[in-house]
Amino acid sequence: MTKNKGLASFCCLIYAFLYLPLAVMFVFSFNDARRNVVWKGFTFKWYGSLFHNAELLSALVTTLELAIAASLFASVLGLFASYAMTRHAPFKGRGVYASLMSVPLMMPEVVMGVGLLSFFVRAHIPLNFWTLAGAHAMIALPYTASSIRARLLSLKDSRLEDAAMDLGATEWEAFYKVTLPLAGPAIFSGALLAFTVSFEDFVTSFFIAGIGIVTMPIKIYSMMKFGVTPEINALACCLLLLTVVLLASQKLLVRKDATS
Amino acid sequence: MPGESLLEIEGITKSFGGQTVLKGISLSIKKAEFLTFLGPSGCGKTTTLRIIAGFEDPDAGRVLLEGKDVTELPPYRRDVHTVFQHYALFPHYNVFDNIAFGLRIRKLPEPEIQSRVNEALALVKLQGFENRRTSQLSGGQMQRIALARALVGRPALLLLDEPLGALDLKLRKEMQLELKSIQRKLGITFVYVTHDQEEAMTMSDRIAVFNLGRIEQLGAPRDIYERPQTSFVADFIGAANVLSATVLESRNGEVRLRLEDEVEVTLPHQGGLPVGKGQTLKVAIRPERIEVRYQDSPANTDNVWLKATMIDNVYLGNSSQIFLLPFEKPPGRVLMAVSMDAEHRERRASGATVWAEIRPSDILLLEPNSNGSHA
Repeated sequence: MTKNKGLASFCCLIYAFLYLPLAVMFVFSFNDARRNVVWKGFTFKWYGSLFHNAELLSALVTTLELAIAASLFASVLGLFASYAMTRHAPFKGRGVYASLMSVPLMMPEVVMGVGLLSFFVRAHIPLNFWTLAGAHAMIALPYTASSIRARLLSLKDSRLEDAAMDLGATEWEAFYKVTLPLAGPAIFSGALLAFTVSFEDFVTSFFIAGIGIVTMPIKIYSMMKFGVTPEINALACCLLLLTVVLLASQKLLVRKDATS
Repeated sequence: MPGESLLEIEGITKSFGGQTVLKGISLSIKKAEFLTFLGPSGCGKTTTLRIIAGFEDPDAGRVLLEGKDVTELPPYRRDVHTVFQHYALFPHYNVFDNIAFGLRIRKLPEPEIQSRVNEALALVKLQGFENRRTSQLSGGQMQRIALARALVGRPALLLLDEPLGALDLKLRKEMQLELKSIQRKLGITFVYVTHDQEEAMTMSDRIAVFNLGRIEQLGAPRDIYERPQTSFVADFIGAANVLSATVLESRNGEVRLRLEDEVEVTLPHQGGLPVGKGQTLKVAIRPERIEVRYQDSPANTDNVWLKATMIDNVYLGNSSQIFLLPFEKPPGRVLMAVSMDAEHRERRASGATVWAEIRPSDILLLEPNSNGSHA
């Protein structure tokens, strides 16, 4: 029993290490004080004031638009890439091509930011909403591709596309009557991940956002110049909630897809 | 028109990643025939089937369907349907939509689809299952739906890739007879892949025995069993005692052999021998063609009598398996005999002296295996 107690308290410490900063942020988002240093009393007013902050709301709209565009773009590209990679006949070095797809996951984001910026500048591509959406899609592509690829591989093993073609369907008919509906949940779950990646991205956006495009993470960063106000804490809590909801629905989707 | 050829395969070869899986497959399948590809796993039978269906391209050779070269055609341009090993039913469609899939692709009018799907469901005895989801079906029912889906388009040729492999023994026996009767009723040509020799014997008009990427023997079940040409076929179809034999003399429709370098026998044999005088070949004797006797031979008999030591007598309920050692020189090859005679049920001590009686015509001369080995 003592051994179990020891293990339990050890785990508690680790979870405290992980979640204490978030807990402090959460608590201080209700602090009724302008300068958020000492606890003055409980209030909801910072959450209310978030919704009257026009700059913040426009940053939110920009971020949502970016995330939607980037996740759509990354899903379509991820679907095509996975289809090609899983349906092409085996060739030498195929494994290298497959792992090249996930290398950007490990790449420091600063490197991506510098690379993208120098590319856009050299190529004389003006920085705007669409270049940023493209860059976000690029960062999110490994997530959508790996999610869709796993599903397409299992579909291939079950010979369902073979069965469709055997019954007279062309490759295209087999794709949209069999592959697409059955890969749907995997595509959607990849898109949710891509949405999260784009939504929270700071480094890349900071490098190439250009003038006039303010995303939510950039907005928070600029607000922090005047100290961590309770308003920022409240905003961060909202974002945290959104992320948790997105990730939870993605996990549920994966589990439901696996059991069906 | 039975007898007319429906499918011709000419010199098909195929390798995957440097490994040759088909080393020249040629055969001709007649209309309304039930032909089985039989062989152990990895022998090339499923690859041959996938080449006929169009899922794989052969490295060399041609596939002719009704006289037309279809080697280069994709699966959807061939009048061939397949029943897959794990059924491959579409999980996002119900039973009706699964069966109707091919008909809808061909854009048949909906009333005709309706009546043909009902007909197909009646054929596999699953009327009333139209609206079931595939996840609500048992293995046997999925198998029937897969069959109905493949038959509803009335293909010239139906390919079946170990369709009963996942079913339990009793259901498998039932389905074997049912498949055979459906095939007779519709008059569709079936090419059936299995590794189960009993399944092949039950259903087939002809069996092609595959081994190591070649066809070892092609013939009616009875030919394959009673006149196996190679030791592989003798051993794979039923059980066989395979012995080595040296040719001593061959003339006047008779051949004299020395079995296992010990016992001389004379047997009738027409035609040429696969090897010359003084050389060694393999012979096979079926266990049920060896009679175990407890007394020595009467004087006037043409049969071969081998004096032997009984090693073991295993009672199997409907039969007895008797193991004999007729040869003294090491390694001392053991013969297995199977008999349903009541006299063997009484267990005798091992070590007893017995005689094995064999009719000369039951000693089957074998050719070397198609890969050249005598294994």
